[in-house]
Amino acid sequence: MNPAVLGLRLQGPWPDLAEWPWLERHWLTPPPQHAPGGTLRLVREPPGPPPGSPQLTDASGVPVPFWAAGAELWLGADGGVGLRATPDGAELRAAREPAQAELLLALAEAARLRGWWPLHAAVAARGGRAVAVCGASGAGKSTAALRLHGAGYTVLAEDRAWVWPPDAEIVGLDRELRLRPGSLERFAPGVVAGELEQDAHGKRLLPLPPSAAGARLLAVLHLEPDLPPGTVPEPLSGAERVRRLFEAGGVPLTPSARAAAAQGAARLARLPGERVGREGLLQAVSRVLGGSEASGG
Amino acid sequence: MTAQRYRPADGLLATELEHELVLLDPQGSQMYSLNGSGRLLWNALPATADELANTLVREYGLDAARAHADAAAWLGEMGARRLVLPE
Repeated sequence: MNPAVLGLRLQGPWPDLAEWPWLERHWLTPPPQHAPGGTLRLVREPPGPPPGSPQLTDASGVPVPFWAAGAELWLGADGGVGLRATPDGAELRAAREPAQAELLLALAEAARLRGWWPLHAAVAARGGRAVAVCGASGAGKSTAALRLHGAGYTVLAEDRAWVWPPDAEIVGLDRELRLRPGSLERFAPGVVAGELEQDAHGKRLLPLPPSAAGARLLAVLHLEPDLPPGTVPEPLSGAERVRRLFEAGGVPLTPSARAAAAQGAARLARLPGERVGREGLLQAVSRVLGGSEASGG
Repeated sequence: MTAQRYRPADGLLATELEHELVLLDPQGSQMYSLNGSGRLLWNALPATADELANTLVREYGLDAARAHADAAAWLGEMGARRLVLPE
């Protein structure tokens, strides 16, 4: 069976994935339960010429020029990496080797064109149900994921998750938690025996159990570390839920994917959303998923 | 002379919720919420000012003068925010 990204099977002359370990490690997922499958076909030919003037976006801090029209996208200074939606998925055209930043953007846009919604969130699940914990960079999502892991929840993602809005199916792409020195001992003591691998930044990597299936997203929490302890959770307005969803997921590059995103936002904004501080996090999650903190302990 | 038509500005994200329509301008990260007549008029675009006024007459039973004044005011407000542009 071909490897797949969110149900899109990679077809065509894709390089040996051993050459792109980041793709295998961070993007390949088991087939989703509800979202339809499809193909992401690679064609080793140049795309047609891009229209008009380029705009600029970035992938993981790397600036990438792009052009977008309808359901088509051109990436790179030469517009030499093209993506377009097809009836059963998307087609990626490139006569040259795509740079990693270009490929990251193409994969994300292919998923968005299908209707998937990216969510920068820690995701905790129990019994096939899940809660997403969103927050700005530095708000504490990684620590939240570790605390939820320590509390016995299945952590599907530390920061990178995708949602299929029609069924609110959520899939995590992270394979491990990246731990700051001392955080394991402080927030989840006793969950690991033995040494952990370290990444290039000196963070220890705590492997997450492979998630054979996604879960159904029931609520979206917005972590605000400065929210005073004891603040009564207030439901967010519909408009505020939409704003925060786009803040957590970003804006697609192509008009077609933007239209799909607006539809997805309308569905996801039906989910309960509330602000939560660090102190109230476990209690808020357990109110939705059940757990030892449900009674306020 | 053809009457001026108006259209939504490019690139806006329009999300339909149960009781409102949320417009997000990704360029300026601005968010706007339209409900009631604002939502009705937005969904009638592209349209001329007369067509928008007729929409208000039809849906809310306004008299023509009031409907034209309301449509013009709405176009002025939306135009000032660069959410609606002349075609």
